[in-house]
Amino acid sequence: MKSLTLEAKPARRFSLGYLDGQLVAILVILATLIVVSSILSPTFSTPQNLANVTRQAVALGIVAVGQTFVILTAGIDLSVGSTISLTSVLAAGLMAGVPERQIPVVVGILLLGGAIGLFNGLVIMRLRVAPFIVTLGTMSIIQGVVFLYTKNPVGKIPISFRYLAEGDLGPIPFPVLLYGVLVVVSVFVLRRTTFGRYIYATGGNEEVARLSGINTSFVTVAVYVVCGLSAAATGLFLTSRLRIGQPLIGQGYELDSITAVLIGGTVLAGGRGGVVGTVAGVLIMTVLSNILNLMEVTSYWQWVIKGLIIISALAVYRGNR
Amino acid sequence: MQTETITVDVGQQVIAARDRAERIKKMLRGSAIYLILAALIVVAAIASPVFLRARNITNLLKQASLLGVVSVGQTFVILIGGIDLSVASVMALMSVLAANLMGGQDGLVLPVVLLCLGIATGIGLVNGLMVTQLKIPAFIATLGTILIVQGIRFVYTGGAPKGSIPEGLRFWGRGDIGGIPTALIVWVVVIVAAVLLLRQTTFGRRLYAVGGNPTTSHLSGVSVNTIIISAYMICSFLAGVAGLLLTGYIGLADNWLGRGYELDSIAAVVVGGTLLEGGRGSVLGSAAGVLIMVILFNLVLLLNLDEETQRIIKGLVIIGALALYARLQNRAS
Repeated sequence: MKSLTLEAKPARRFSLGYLDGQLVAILVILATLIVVSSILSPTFSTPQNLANVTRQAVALGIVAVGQTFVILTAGIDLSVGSTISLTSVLAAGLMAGVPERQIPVVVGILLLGGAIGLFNGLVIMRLRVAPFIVTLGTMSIIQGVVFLYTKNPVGKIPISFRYLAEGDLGPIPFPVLLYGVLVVVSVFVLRRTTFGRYIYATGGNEEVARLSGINTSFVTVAVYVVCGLSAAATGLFLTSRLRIGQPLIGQGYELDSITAVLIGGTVLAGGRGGVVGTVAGVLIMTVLSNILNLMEVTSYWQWVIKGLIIISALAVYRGNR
Repeated sequence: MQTETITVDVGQQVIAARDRAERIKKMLRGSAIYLILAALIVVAAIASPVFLRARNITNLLKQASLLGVVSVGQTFVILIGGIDLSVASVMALMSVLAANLMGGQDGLVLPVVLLCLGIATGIGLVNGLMVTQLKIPAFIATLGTILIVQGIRFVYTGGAPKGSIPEGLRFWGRGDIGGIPTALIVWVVVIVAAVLLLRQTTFGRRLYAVGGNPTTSHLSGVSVNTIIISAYMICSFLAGVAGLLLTGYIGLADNWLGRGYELDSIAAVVVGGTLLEGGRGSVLGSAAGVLIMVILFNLVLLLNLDEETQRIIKGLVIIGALALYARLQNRAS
């Protein structure tokens, strides 16, 4: 018994130490970015701009949580962008400005997102093929469906639905609060529940996890359902913010969410990382865009700078290992 | 004693039968894509009388050639277990460079083409170095390349591409030699060269080996990094060739030329039977994959369906092909 505890302790300390070290590095980068930004532009630290930045971060932040779950199992979900577009046009189209329809439409949209995730997960699990190519297929199908439904901005939201994106609860923007709750729940699920442990185990080594009695098929399907749900939630949030359904609103969210997750220190090969890192990754990307806009850097140079930062961030993480 | 012999016999028969079944499945897996292509051509000819007309076939092959050249390069990268998302960005760079530097002068076609292809290959070198030296996953490294090349392109053009495309380059995109589209000739030459390179040279064998198992290859004395970097350079070079052909085809500079080719080329390669995990697949399979996708797109137009149906069909073809390969694979093993 004694030797057992002795063996268990260093292993535990090592894993915690690893997570903290990585996380500290990411948080330091974020803090530096914020400090530098407030020195470079006096507008940056005004309450109005900060509220703006956080609201922008929420849209990417929600879907990045789902993407984190998927990448932790060594998967990837390219279909989130078109799912966001689909949920946006359907939500605005179906609500059509009628307040009574809000709740049924929101429930229906979330179920739809979950169903898309379920489809992705089942195909990946049954066919045992690369998630990249499966979700590339669903991405194409969903975007096609969106365009068959509408090629132009569509629908209308009831005024009360604006609260989702624009409301305040006391001093805190409502969407930020919602995102906060989502992050806390996700961190709890990943760190404190068996399901969370199973996700890390499946991503670390699926074969070993399966032989240890973990139902890896269930885990695989479940993370894609979570991801589909989170994409639908981002779709609803963006619809509330734009007050209309846009058939191309989700374009780019697939790559941005993956980038945020990777900048946040989660490994593309699975098994290592977490939601807190992703939150930092999302904030790094949003703050960066914001400060470059405030300094009136053209979008051309913004692309170059973002590309360089993505590459150097990943190079640094790899170098540390 | 007797029972034992019988068991052995039955066992051997079972093994022999399984061997046979395995061989058939293997053959099916190898040729399934060509059978599907043949069936699709028959169906297309029945579905639309216009399909087999010379003019339609020529147009179709011109389109297929452009995606086809990119897909050959993408096959090399996927065979070594990588992926290259930056091909479309490279194609658009070729477009704005060619238009600006050639300025419509035929005399400048050759030097500018050489310069452009040099730049394209250089981008491939950078991709390869990021993957091998900085150990960045190919997905995110080439995503970074997209952003950087895109930014440079827009800084270079100031958002509005200048210059014009001389006849000399237009010929390569839309001309023909004795009725055969020049772009198709380029595609065929590229395919033949790639097949020879992969099947007849040490480099080709090593490429498959690295994709199959990089550690074993390294331990067998293969310079894994050189092979990986070469694959990315070949891919970017061919993206450059396709970019120049497409520029000649449409005849003007476009900052977003080739948009969508990155994912379409990956889809064509996978539909053609190359494994995304690397180590298995072929250039001929990718060519069949390209033809299947282009014929389906063509049918959508000929049958007067909404153009966006193409996206749905593309997705269904990808997932359908994966399902088919998974079935053949499971039965074989």
